[in-house]
Amino acid sequence: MNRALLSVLAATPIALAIAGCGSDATNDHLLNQGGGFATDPDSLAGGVGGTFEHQAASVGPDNGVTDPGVKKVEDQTVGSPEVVARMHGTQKLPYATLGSVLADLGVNVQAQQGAGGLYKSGTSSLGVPNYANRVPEQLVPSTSSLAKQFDIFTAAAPEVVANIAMSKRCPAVVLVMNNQFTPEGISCLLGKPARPEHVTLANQLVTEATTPQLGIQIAVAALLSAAHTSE
Amino acid sequence: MELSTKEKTMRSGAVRGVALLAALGVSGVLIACSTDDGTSLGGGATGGGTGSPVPAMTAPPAPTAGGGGTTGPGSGGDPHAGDNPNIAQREINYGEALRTASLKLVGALPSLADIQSLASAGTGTFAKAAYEQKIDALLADPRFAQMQITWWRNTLKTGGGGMPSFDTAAVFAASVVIGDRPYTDLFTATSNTCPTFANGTFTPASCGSTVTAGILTDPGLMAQYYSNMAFRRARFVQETFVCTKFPAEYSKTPVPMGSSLYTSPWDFTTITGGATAKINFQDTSAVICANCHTTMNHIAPLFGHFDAKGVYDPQKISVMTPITPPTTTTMADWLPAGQGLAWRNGTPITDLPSLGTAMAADPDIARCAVNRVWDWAFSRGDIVNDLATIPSVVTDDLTKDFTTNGMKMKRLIRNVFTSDDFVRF
Repeated sequence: MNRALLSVLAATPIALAIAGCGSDATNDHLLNQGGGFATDPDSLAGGVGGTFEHQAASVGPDNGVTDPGVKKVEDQTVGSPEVVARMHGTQKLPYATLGSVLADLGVNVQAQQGAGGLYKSGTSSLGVPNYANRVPEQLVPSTSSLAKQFDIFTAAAPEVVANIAMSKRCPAVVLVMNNQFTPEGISCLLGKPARPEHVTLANQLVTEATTPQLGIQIAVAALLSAAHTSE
Repeated sequence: MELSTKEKTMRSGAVRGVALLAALGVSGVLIACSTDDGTSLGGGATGGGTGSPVPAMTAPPAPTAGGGGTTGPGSGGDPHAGDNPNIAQREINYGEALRTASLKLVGALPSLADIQSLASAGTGTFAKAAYEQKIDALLADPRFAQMQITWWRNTLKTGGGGMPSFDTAAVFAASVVIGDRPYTDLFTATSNTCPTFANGTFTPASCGSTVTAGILTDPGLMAQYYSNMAFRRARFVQETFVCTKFPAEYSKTPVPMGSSLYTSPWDFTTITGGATAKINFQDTSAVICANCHTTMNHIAPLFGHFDAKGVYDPQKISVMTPITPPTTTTMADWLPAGQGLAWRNGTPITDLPSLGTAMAADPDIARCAVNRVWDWAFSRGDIVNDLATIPSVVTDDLTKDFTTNGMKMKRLIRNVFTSDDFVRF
């Protein structure tokens, strides 16, 4: 329903723009007279299988939905096109990579509940590809994908805390000693060297939580979310 | 799925935690490496490390005073790029660079041992050499092959089994990369273009067609992009390998026509049109169809010989012309009698292998490959779908190196992932 409504709303300005270009608002060439293929060979309207569906194609799943005007405005806040091109962007982790990162940290991604369940059931919001419809994996972060990743990392934290020392990625690494995070443990979570500030803030969360154990889990969830919602 | 009470409690706390740590991440980016990675601003040289399996660029871009690297003042691009605070305030952070490189190249975080060894590698050229060795190791990692297959699936927007296989094009493209074969083999290879991949090994296999021109004759790809008059296949080739939408060609002297400008360099009458045509590509009443179709109609007939299942029949056109009722397309639906095929105006072709040869010789094809790799490395989205376009000045040196060294994708990937811009955050 929502999708149909969005399609109508998206198509309306285009249709109005096309109609507005001609002096004859009832130009038959602009009408698709029966769905599917246009009956008039000169028609510029098209159906699902119509060759003439140029306008729809430009904003459909084949070409994404990036608005050139919006993109230009956004880029200008960063700098010239050259500046923008030379800066790292932010994309989310691909679905498979997210699974590997979790599994390597000791999370059972095959589980029906917890982080594994969220991961397995989150394929749509995490933007997995739909090759049958020529849609590649969606790596541009969306609200739903970011929220889903956050939920997954939050649910994964207890497993990571419990299993990291036995994990594939960081065997024998001590994540927390005497309720204090170790730099090595945080580096393992982040995939890059932990900075002193990482350790300080993580330990602050431990101190301020209701219980140290809960604080540790919150800190792990926060570290994973901050580090890995973007590739 | 419902979150447990415990998870909800954690989530509430984690929100604050993320905010704190995200702020740290931002500040970390801004002040990165002043102590952690300890590297000086070494500029843009990308010399190869000792024992590198992939040679580095022989003509490294000159470093610039503005912290630029690959390009900067005087390089023909934005003369103020180096002064932009977003550029000028970046600092080298090999730890951050290794993380994102590892995720992209092998789909996993770098090991703790790699993180620690890189952090303890020292500063300046020592850190740079250590980082480049890590990149070389990632490129030699067996997981890189699987990641390349995935990358090509997303680039080609196809994947999966079935009959025909929708995976062979991506697997073949990945095998070209992993095998260090010229990128142009994607369009010119004459055998074994439908390989399989299992247990880390590519197994060559023929597509079984009577014509072979790289992935241009891949049955799965042809089935994936089946459409009326094969225009979707022509558009796929344009957007995927030239990195721009149609129109693909522009005249230096556009001509006012109908409601707009005729911008194609082709003679207007080189495509089918007029009152008796099934589809009037010379229509100018609302848009100038010929701006795109002068190029498309000279390519699409070659793809018209593949049916909806990707089966090739040189004797038969297997696509439809969308009139009522739909009819099988004839050559006259695309082009008037006597009009030959062409990749571009002035570049005639006769068959799919000659199309592949023409594409391989087109400098736009090489630049597109470079730009796609750049956008992937820099997490910038798709160059066509997400409008992640790149001023040529940014990738000129990389493109030159690519084209003068056999068009090897692995070398290109190494050059991008070790470029001065890539390691700055």
